[in-house]
Amino acid sequence: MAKEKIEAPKLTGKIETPRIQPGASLACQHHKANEQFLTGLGYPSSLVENWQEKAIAKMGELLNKYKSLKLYLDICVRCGACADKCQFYLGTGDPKNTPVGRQELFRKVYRRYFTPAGKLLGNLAGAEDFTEEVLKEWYVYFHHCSQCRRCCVACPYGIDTAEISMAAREIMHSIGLGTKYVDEIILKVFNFGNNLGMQPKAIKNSLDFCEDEMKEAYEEKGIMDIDVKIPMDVEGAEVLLVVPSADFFASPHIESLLGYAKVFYQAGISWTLSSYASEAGNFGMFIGSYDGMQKVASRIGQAVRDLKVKRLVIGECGHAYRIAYSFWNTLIGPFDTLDKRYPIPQHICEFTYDLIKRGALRLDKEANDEFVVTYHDSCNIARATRMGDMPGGQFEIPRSIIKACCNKFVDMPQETIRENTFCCGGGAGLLTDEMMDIRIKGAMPRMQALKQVIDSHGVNFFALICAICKAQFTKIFPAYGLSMDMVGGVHQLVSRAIVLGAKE
Amino acid sequence: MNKLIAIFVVLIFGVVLLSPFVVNAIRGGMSKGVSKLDIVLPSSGKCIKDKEYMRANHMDLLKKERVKAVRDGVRTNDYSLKNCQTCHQKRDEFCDRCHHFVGVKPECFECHYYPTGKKECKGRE
Amino acid sequence: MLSTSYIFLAYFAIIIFVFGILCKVWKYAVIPNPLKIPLTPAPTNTIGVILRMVFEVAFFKSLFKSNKFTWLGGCAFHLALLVVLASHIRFFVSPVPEPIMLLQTFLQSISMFIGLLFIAPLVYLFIRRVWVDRTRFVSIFADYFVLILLFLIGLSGITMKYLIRPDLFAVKTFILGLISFSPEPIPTNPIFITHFTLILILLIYFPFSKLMHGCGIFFSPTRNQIDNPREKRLINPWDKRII
Repeated sequence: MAKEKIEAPKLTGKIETPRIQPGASLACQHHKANEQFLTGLGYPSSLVENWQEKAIAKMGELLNKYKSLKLYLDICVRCGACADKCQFYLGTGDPKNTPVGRQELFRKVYRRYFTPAGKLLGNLAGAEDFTEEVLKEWYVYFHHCSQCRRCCVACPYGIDTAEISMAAREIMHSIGLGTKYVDEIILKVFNFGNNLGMQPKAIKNSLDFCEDEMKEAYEEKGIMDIDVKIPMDVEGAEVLLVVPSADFFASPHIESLLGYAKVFYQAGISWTLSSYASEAGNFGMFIGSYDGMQKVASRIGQAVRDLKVKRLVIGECGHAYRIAYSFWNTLIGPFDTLDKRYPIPQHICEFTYDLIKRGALRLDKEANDEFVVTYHDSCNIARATRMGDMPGGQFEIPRSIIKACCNKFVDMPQETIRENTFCCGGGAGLLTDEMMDIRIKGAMPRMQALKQVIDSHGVNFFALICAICKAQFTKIFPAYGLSMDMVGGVHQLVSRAIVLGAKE
Repeated sequence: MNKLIAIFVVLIFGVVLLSPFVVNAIRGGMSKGVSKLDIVLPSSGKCIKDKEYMRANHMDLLKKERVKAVRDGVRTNDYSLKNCQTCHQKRDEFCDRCHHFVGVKPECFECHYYPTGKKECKGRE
Repeated sequence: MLSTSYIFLAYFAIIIFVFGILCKVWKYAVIPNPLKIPLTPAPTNTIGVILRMVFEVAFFKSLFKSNKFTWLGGCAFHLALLVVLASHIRFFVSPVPEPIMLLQTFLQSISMFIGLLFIAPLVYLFIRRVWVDRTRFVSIFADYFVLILLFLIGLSGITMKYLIRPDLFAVKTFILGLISFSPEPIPTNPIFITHFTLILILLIYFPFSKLMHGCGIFFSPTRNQIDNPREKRLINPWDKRII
């Protein structure tokens, strides 16, 4: 536990590549998962006796299961093009937080046990025994990776550190080594259906509260006939909306939930949430567990069948949308019962954008006139998914929605947005208090880019479509001396701008 | 399915990697016995330097001769094309055959003729 | 004796090289992609993917975007490598076909430039590797080894071109002898023997090294997958629900 206050880097508006400081972030590490969480997920309860042997066997198994892993371990030339692209290296200067440095931790073990050169020549071939020392570094540095894929953009061969860190985490789990934060959350989904462990009743209460809030707000404005509902477990609804559970009560997430509800209300499409599939997020991906990911995702498949819906829409969540967009069809598909005329699954932004394009929504831009808005591309959405039909729709569609809701929109510098976007610094299991040091430092590049547009354009609203980004930034902004109220969802802006009621 | 694609891919790589062998086998290059240098040699006499040296370095001698003539104005006949021709009478029977074989274009003939006319091959002591 | 051992060694190296690569390529081709992981924005059709790969393989597009200095060195070296390999084709075919003869005539006129283009980037890349603190930190012996090996191959090649000339007739005879399985004696020029030895080392080393990036890049799922997971279901062959 770090008691002293963590010093955030100075906001200068410039992102500078630091000189290397070996071991700079070695001390920042996760609390280990205890017996309850590990056994709950079907892993050994603690580090097993013959862990080295087990880990190597697991590595061998994964090498035959994932083309990406085998290939990326073989072909890296250590050109260093990725090194200055990782926000955790830029923030900490720890060379093992460069993508290539991180991969080398895995690669040296791979060489030692799986390549002829490594077996014969050992150190000379860059191979190293899987010692306790190495395992310690694995635990630290593979959990410092937010699996954001920024390095993959830079790599001439498309080597994706996320694939390697996922494999490393899976290997560590197989020998009884996991992080408390992630494992506890996955277990909660197994047991309760969402990351927060909320019971259906609690969700229902929260939704009722939201409905009342909206009603009151409209009544205050003298609009009496608008009663926006947030339905749950309604069988036969047209649309099943799956949102990250943070949207049920966390701030500013909940504001976006109101936005979704108003969009559905105005579109006149029947919809429902599910208490069984009350989580879009899927931390199974973070630990590289295919089975875990599938088990979490299967709740959505079940809800689709149980509620007999026709369409499936995902709320504002980054990694969730990656899994939904890229993996659901493989994990829990095919979705034979759903309406094929719509994308399966569809992102809420695609849904809203469609309505805007058709002129089905009336948006009062002036309602957001107090804001100068910028948009943060969340890593998973930017680099692992698509919205709409055109490549790059994941960049254009959210921006189009924002522009339809606001008069003042400005982008951050080009090299920090779209496919070059920086991770918030909290992804893939970093979003926990003991990791605050690396979270603050990892957010540095994004904060510097933001600082630039604050200074040049007076930006005061930071729009997002990711639950983790929202949670991370509301925590991090104060550390950088910015107000956490700047952070909000895209549908929060929609919620403020949308004019409900019959069209004139 | 995956296996089929893999076989196809490996075949492509195999053909590329083994292309020197394949091409050579198809063209039958070796069977004709390339080891014998297919040039017409004078029946008697001796060249200015030994055979091994000449094969590797004749171009340097000619170049040296050229530089001497052009830059210094000193014309000797020791290492000149003319002198070559006293024994190696025809270019296409001597120079070209070997040059074609190894794939090097002789730069001499971009400016010069290969001299003609019958001469007596004396060789050198 | 020298010839016999070299001929033996040459075939050994070729076998390791060819079958080593084929084994690796087989693995890369046969290990499944359980999930769709194209790096987006990615093309949504096959033609788009082919174009993307062409830009990556031929122009190192990603590297260009990420690091101009490395791109410059890498591009220059690979271009030189391609040209040098092309100019070696004449040793492997007899008679030399007209197009290759034409190419050779052109390359002959710029051979000094090509030689420099081959070894200068290697020196540059070596210095860069040592100079930049983060690349120095992650570099292993193999990274330097490859640079030095290629440098020496280039240097011995240039030496043969300009200083200690071999008998090209003997060289070509030797190579043709090898590839048509009727071995001829190895030329005695010491530089040629050095050049040849270094190349054999490179061939043997190739399949086990990072040099496999040349083949591996074609299999990279983040680059070669089509972005269509919603439209076309990818089946994971080891999914428990299927097995």
